[in-house]
Amino acid sequence: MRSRLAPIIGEDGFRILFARSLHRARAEHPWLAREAVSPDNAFSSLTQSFASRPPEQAALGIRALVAHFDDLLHALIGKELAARLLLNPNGPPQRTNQEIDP
Amino acid sequence: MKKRVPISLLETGVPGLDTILGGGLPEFSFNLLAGSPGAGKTTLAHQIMFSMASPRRRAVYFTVLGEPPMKMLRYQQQFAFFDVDKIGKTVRFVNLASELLKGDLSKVLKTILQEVEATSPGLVFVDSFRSIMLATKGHPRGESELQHFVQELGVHLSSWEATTFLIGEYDPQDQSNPIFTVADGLIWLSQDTYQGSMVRTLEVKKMRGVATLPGQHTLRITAEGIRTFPRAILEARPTRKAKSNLALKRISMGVPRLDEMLGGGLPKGYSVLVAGPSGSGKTIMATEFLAEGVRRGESGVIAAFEKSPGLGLSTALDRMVRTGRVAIVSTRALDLSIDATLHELTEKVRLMKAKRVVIDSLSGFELALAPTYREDFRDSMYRMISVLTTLGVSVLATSELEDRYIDLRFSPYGTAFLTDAIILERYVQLENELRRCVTVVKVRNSDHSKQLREYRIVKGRMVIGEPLAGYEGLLIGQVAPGQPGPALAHGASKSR
Repeated sequence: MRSRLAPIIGEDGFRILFARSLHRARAEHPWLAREAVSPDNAFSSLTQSFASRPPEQAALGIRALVAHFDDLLHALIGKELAARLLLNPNGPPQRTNQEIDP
Repeated sequence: MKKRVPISLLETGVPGLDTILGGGLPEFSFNLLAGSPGAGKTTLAHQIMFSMASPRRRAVYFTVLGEPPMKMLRYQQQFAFFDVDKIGKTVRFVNLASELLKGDLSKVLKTILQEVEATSPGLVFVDSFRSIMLATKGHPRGESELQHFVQELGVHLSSWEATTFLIGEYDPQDQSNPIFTVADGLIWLSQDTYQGSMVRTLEVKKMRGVATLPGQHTLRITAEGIRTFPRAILEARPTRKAKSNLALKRISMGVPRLDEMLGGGLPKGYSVLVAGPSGSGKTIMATEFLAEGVRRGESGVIAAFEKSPGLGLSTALDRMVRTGRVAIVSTRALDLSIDATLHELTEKVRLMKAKRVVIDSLSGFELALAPTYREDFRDSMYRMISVLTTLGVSVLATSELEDRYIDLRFSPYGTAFLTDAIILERYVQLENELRRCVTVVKVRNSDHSKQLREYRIVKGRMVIGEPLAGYEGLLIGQVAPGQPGPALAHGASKSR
């Protein structure tokens, strides 16, 4: 998600969305660690949280986090645009001018 | 003969803007969309981008600090032009904030150029460019670095066959700004509040390669997006001689005896001002004017400003509107611009192939205008009436006169000289009764009656009676028995 969204909404934009999603997910799964996403230290605390839990519980936590992230994105920019950005953020591999205009 | 390089003009997709630009936006031009916050810069950029972007001309939109991209996407998608299907296919968004935060303009330039070289977009947007300029402030080599940046960007993007738009807030007084020199086009958006009313305008201050329409043009933002209303530019009016020839053809006003007073009807293509106090029957005369056209198979258009919101049209007028013989220009009270109204009027005239236009009334129109436009109302009316009459339609405009009985006035705006003919309605007190009289004050290049005739409103129609002979001072409220003189003829008399 980060690799798809950050080039469009910026690292800051992604970081803020992620922090808000995590805040919501922690209300349901308090064991989730607080995480400050940074380019150098990506999700390290969270990874540790997940590793310290049984796989089923970790999976629930991940699902909750992703679901909140989706909900937030949908609330802010709508389902259609969110899906477009996540699935096909900046289109197929680009071609050169020569290829486009024979 | 020298062969010039052809400049393709791109359709912007913004109603009215291509006309202002003199046909469209020159391809491969390097443009600045500038203006104050809230003036509509980002919206204009998005509208142009979604309209122009196609598989053959893909667009890349760089966001640079300024408005957060999430917010921009949230709000821009509210407009009808925002096409989600184009995102990822022909429209790309790229955020450059991190590059800029590092404070290195060369890195920003490199990133933009890498993206352009990799994807070969036909359209490049950088929003907001002001952020880039601010980042160089205080930097020891800030000014020269910015100049280098802009020049490199301009040269590269044009060479890569991209039409470019830099969006930002700039100080129009800052003539030394290198961007102004490098830019091929400079489109300025303004948002001014005056006496509580807000007016948006667009001005093309510079556009290389095309002849643009000068001046500030009204701009509106609706759910559909931006719409501009090109300022009406006067075309040469028919010469006096041509007018004389036109005057040979006359049209009926639809009120018995009024044609006779006008010297045989209103010369076709003339504008006539019907001035009178409240309740004197100006709208009735205007309705008869349109109804007579309808009887003769001519369509009409009315801009009705006289009615209060919610107050319906007269039965006769309503019937003509419902049957599609007369079009009505919808009015949005209190924030109109002359050009927006004129645009609607001329569109309807063309659509209906109308021959008669009514503006009822100039007084109501003035009130409906945004205060900014009221100050040059007389100039604007001149443009409006001139544009309408050059379309070949006959125009009847009504004008409210103050109930003053100590002097003689024809219009409160000094607009009387703008029209070709003037009909004056007046209340007079005669034999302890309030009665109405009508007279023709002028008909340019034509004979007309100078009589004052009494008229009555009977079942919603105007019935003109006999001349009010034997009185003096009727128009200035100082009525006295007149001196016996030569009997007044009922027909036309020579005015010149």
